[in-house]
Formats: sequence, C-alpha cells, structure tokens
Amino acid sequence: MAGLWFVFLFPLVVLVIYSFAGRWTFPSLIPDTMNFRTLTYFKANGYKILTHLGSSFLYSIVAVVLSVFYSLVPAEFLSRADFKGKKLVESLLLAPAVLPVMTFSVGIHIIFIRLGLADTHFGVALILSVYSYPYMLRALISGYKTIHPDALVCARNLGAGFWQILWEIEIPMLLPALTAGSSIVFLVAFSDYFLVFLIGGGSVPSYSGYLFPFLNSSDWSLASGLTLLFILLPVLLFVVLDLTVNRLYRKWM
Amino acid sequence: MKPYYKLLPALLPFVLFFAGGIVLTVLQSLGMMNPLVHYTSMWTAYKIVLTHSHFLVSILFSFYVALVSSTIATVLGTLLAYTMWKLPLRLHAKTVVYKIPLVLPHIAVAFITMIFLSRSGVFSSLCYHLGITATMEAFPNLIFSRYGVGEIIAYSIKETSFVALMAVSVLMKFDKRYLQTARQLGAGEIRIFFSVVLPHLKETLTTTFLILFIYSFGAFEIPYILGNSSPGMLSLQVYDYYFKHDLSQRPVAMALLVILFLVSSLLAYLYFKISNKLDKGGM
Repeated sequence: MAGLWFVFLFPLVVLVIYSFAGRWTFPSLIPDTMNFRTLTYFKANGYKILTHLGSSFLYSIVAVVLSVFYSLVPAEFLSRADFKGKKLVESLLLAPAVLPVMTFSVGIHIIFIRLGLADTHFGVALILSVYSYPYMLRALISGYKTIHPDALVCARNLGAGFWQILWEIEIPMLLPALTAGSSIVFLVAFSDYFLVFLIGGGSVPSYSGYLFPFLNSSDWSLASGLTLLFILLPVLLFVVLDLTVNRLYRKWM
Repeated sequence: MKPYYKLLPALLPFVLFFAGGIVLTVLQSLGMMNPLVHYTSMWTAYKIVLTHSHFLVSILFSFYVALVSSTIATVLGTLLAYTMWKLPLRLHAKTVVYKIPLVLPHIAVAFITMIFLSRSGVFSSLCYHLGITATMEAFPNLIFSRYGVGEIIAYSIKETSFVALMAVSVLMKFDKRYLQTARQLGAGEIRIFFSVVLPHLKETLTTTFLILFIYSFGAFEIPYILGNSSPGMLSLQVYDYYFKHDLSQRPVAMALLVILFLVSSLLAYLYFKISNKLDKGGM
C-alpha cells in the first residue's frame, strides 16, 4: 500500500519540489538552492494566467453543454428501443472517441477557416465536442438503463405530466450519469492541446497552449509550477462535483 | 415505426463533423480543394508516401511504439489490478491514488517523463549516486531516442492506470471463492493467476489493449514533446507536412491521415465486435 502511494505520488512531489527549486544541477538529489520564483511569477503574471485558464474553462464548459445536447435524446432512444442494427448505430456513434482526432480535424480545418469558425472560441468548443460527446452518450445510455420504464408509466398513471416526470424522476435519476459524463468531457476538452492549437490557431487563449512553451524550455521550475496549476483545476472540479452530487442525493433520498 | 428521428441530435456531430471531416481528408489527399496542387494523377500523394521509405519507417515506428507501450500497460495494469483486488476490503478505498494518471493531461505526463528520464533528470542523478554512471553523458539518452523510449514510457504511465481501472471493475464482480477453491485443489499462486483469473479478464483486456493501441498509434501530444523527428511517429509527419511545408505538400499529410484512419478503423472494428459481444454476455 505504501509502495502504491509512493509510486503514484512521487512524481507529483517532485513537481512540487521543482516548483520551489532555484538552482538544481546534475547530480544533486535535492535542489542546490530554493526560492519562491515560481510564486513571484504567478503573482506578476496572474492576469495572463487567469485569462488563459478562464478561456480553457469556458470552451470546455461549452463542449460539455454541446455534448449533453447531442446525447440526451439519442441516449434515451438507444437505451429503450431495440432494433436491427442497433449495435452498429451505437458503435458508429461512439467511434469519434476511439479513432485518432487528427484524421477528421485536419481535414475539416479548411472548412472551419472558410466558415469563420477557426480562431473562435465556439469553433474550438465545437471541434472538442465532436470527439468527446461519445463519453457523454455512453454515460447517459447506462444512466437511462437505471430508470425502469414501469416507474414512468406509474408516474403517468398517478397524473404526472411530461415536465414533472422530467424534473422529478428523470433528471435526479440521471444525475450520476450526467456528472460522470460531464467530468470526462470537461477533462478531455480542458487537457487537449492539439485541437485547440489547430482550430484556435493561437487567437483562442488556452492554458495548454500557454503551458506548452515552458515544457520545452530549460526552466523546469516554472514549468513544474504551471503544470501543477494545470492539474489542480480538474482535480478540484472532480472533488467538488463528487461532494455536491452526493449531498444532493442524501437530500432527495 | 420507431422514433428514429430521436437519433438526429447525435447525427449532427457525427455526420457533419466526424464523417464529413474524414471525407474532406480523403478529398484533399486526392489533391482537391487546393489551388496550388497540380498533380498529374489523383493518386500522386499516395505514390509519394509509398515510394519514400521515411514514411514507411514512420508508420512502422508508430506501430512499434503503440505495440510496446500498450503491451507494457496491459501487463502492469493487470498485475496492479490483481494486487489491489486481493487486498482486504477495508483497504480498497485507499487504492484510489492509482487513478492519478487518469486525470493528468498528456502534456503533463510527457513533462513528468522528461524530468525523470532526461540526462540531467531524477533517474540520471540517482544512477550517479548509486555509482552506476560516472558522468551525465554516461546515462543513456532516453528522451528523443531512436528507440522511442520516452514516448513508450510516457504512454505506459498514462495507460497502466486505465488498464487497472478496467480490470478492477471486472474483478469486483468476480467471486473470490474461486481462488479458495483453486487453492484447495492444490493450484499454486501463479497457476491461479493464469488459469483462473486471467481467462476471466481476457475480453476486457483485449478491448482495452485495442483502445490504447489506436490511441498511441495516432496521438500527437506525447510524440511532439518527447519524440525524435527521425524516424518520428506518423502524427509528427502529418504535422510536419501540414504546417511546415508549403501548401502544395498538404495532400501528402492528408494521404498519411487516410492511412492512419484505415489502420485505426480496422482495429476499432475489432474493438466494437468484441465489446458488443461482451455487453450481450453481461446482460
């Protein structure tokens, strides 16, 4: 158990140490000098960092909303209907998450330029949603399977209308699936570098794009600090979502 | 008549952007939609790809990196899952730390790999202090190596946790009493793993392996940070021909993408075939 924690946490600990390292030359096992240069950098460039984080956050959230829009109704249909070729349809719809993103995105780039979607936030969110919606679709299909059709019939017999069923049965029952799907889509979109680079073309600020030059530089201290910041947001989001959904559940049950 | 129209919202991204994007890739590989291309034949880009050996080397190199990294990840991930599953139940919640690489972005994993493996990195310093290497240069140049060591290790780190996640979810439904029975019948630990546990995981491990293989075969971020440009993985060649060469060379990038698409589709077909069968068996 201790070994497990060591193996998986050690790399992050090294990142933390590097963030505060001043000079750390080969072959020292610990930094030669320590300083708070990374924090000073954060403070001096706070506005720039926040803009990039905010922009990444924004297009990732739009990608999540788009993926819910694409998946909600089809997931309901696919979880309940049974027809010939259903497996094929399902597989095809899930394929964009499996196949390499380059194969479709580089081809469509030229159309995005002509339509004026390239270099825009919406264009970036759109292209990110194309390969991340399958995670949402998959989560929602299994979410709908947890709702027994008889429960809906029962509610209808007791006089519940469409909205009441949606709001009081379907949404609460789907919430875990929706949370799971949203977290994955968000994470995938937020972590992406290539698609944002291709479609955003440098005019859409992104944290991955901001971080990238540092990773290739020799300044490992700053790169470590910025990488930690990159990891922090998704992890925080997971924890917060997990806590709020669990709390909501206790209230409902 | 079933309400098939309910599928429409999902067809929007699928048909317009995904399938549409691939059709555009194919068209551009044939030299269309590009004012600067004056090929004598539609297949010129493909001829260029097939007659220049460095493209072939790139394809084989990608294949090699994907194969080795997915194999390492599958083996380590399975062992990790098996070890965690055998722990007493009260400890299970504490194993959550293995999921860290799952939430790490690929470029972060690439950077961590660089810190650990480069000549001035953590392992190199450790080797010096353990007396294995005398100078920085004595440590092998693992990052940007010709053998793709950096890429392979970065992919393995990221993917081992994924394999473990998939394997644990199957093992959780597996009755531990099978192990006791096997033990009573005189099977040793190694035999139990190979003849009782592994057959149970076979399909899941196969589908997971396929997914990982396709991903590492065609992804861009990790080779871009850790890779050598020669031979260079397929995705780097595409990048090079799409962005770095002049516009008239773009069909070559597109032809490479079509090849990438065909190989990946074949593997994806296998993946869906096996995983759909799994779903049916599981229901």
